[in-house]
Amino acid sequence: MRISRRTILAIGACALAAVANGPAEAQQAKPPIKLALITPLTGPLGSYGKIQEILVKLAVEDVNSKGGVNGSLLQLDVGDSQTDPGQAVVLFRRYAGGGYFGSIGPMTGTQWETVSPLANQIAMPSIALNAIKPGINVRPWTIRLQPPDDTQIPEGFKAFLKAFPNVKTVVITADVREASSKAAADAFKTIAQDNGLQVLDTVEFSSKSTDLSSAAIQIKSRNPDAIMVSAFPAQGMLLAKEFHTQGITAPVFNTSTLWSGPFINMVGEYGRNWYVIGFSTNADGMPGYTDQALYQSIVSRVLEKGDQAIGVPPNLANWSFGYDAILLYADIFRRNGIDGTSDPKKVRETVKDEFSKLKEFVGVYRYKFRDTGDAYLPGNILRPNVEKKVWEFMPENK
Amino acid sequence: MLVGLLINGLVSGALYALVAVGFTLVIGVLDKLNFAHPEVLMIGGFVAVVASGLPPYYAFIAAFATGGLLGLVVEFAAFRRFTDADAKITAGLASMAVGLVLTDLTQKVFGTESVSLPIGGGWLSRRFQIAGVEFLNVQIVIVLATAILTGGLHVLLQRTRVGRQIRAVAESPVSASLLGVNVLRVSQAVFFVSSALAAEAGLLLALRSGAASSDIGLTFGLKALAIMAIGGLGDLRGAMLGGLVIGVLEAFMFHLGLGRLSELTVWLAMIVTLMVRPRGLFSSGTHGLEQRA
Repeated sequence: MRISRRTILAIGACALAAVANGPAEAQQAKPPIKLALITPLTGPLGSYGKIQEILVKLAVEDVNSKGGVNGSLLQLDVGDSQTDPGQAVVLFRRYAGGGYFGSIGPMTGTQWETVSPLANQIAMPSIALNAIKPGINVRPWTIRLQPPDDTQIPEGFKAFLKAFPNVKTVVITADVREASSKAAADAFKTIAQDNGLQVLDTVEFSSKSTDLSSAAIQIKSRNPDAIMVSAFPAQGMLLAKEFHTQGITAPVFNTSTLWSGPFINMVGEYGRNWYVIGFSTNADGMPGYTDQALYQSIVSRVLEKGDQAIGVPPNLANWSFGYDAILLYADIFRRNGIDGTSDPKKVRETVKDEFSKLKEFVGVYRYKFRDTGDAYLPGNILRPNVEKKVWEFMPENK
Repeated sequence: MLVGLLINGLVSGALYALVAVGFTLVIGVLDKLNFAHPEVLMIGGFVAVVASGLPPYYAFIAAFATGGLLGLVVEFAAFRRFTDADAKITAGLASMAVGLVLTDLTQKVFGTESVSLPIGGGWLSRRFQIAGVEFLNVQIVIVLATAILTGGLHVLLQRTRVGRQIRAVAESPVSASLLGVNVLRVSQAVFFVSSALAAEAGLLLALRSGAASSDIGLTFGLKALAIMAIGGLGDLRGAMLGGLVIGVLEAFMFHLGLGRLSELTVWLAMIVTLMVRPRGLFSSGTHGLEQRA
């Protein structure tokens, strides 16, 4: 039999490829550890989900580039919740039935309110990253890295009043159709009163509003020293435009909902007097609570990925929670000798036990955990730099 | 301040009216419900994004042309083959499918978030005051555009040959056809005009709110649908009046401290109106005639 030159070349190429892929194959001798991320990639919060996905994948890359966990690489599968609690539940059940060791997300209070109890029912660990509504995290199967509004709003508002000590009267305005937003509006009232402020009016609106000019006119008629707003970016944008039209110059205090997401990229001149609760910016994190070197490394890599979908520049805000969730899972797996061959049921039990014992964790941020399973980081207030399209710490509060 | 608030409501209502008029034109003449109409409105908003930086009248021309052409596409894709009275539901569903495709394509190009228009210091964003409330020049443009476009539509329907043909088709497509009217051309003209009005409304809405959003079709379009029912299906005067009334009522809800219910206003108004007047405020449209018969 005569072997042609072409055949010899093909066999040689195959052999070379096999040698080149050798280490990767050896590395993948153990099956991967499967984790799931449930986040909105489409729908009204699509851009939030896309940047969250980037951060979570960045952490997976970083862990895997160091050899993975106990010889297994991390495998991340991403499900699009479409910002819909029903879809989030469907995805969560699918991952629970699919041998995944744990999940991350979904986003928003409304979705976490649905998934957190379900996680306890079906014994599947999950970490919430961004839900801010207090009192909705159900232990022991779930924890939440985003400090909820019951600590963030009081501390953030204190920081706000430090910057604006002459504020004596406020008007509260909120989207009362969304769980986190409604909870924040309720908290605003108590906190304003606790700080000796007079609440002149509460102007409520719906997430489906397409015109908030009447809300702005109503607020203007009350002439408050400051305005407390709880809204998603689309309504936040509408309000900012209408406040500008009505010549409202009073400082506007917001929850952390507008800290993350594209609000700062889009609001421009209309947002000059808008302030948000937050504790990290595109420049740095809060001193004493952030691993600044790791944070800078993440910021520099994410800034390169800025595009129309996630904003230019991308707003880092609190997305590092996604990075930390992976580090936290990896740490638990590593310490407990878990790899891709481990029994998912036993792994989930171990993760649940670790969640229960969790008092502190250091990733990008330095977290303390409360009895509720919610992380604690001190609340602060950030101001907009509308020219650079970024949030900044206020010098008096840093 | 209340007077200013109500005037502001009238301006918002003018936009509702413009969308509802387009909706009602199709149903009044062709007795068909075009569910792609709200998405043409949405695309009108993105015309504002694409044409930002150009003088505003270019954007108005572009929106009119884009909307009109999309109307022809919708007529061809969703209605052309469903001419039987029995196929109304199929045609409605087909138009919904076209609308969903338009939304998806828009999201592919512009993303799922609102897209801000550049903040300009031009004439449109200059302010003036009435009764303690600040208004923008763009709001004058909205009122004028609504008046001109609906006035123009009235003239088209009542004073022109095309208008006579449209009215003949509205009365009876079969009779019109026997009298030599090209029903297909009339149908295309109706879709062109109604969709052009929707796109103009979308453009004005984007200029007013400072952003274009791919979600706006559903929220705003459904509202326009309810306004059409309030005014009387197929009646242009009803759509106009219904839009203005709803705009004012929504504004008044904020004054009463019921802003959270402002989005329900239109639906409550529709239920109440139809309970009292099942044919809507006016009933000279197609459905009014049907019910009288």
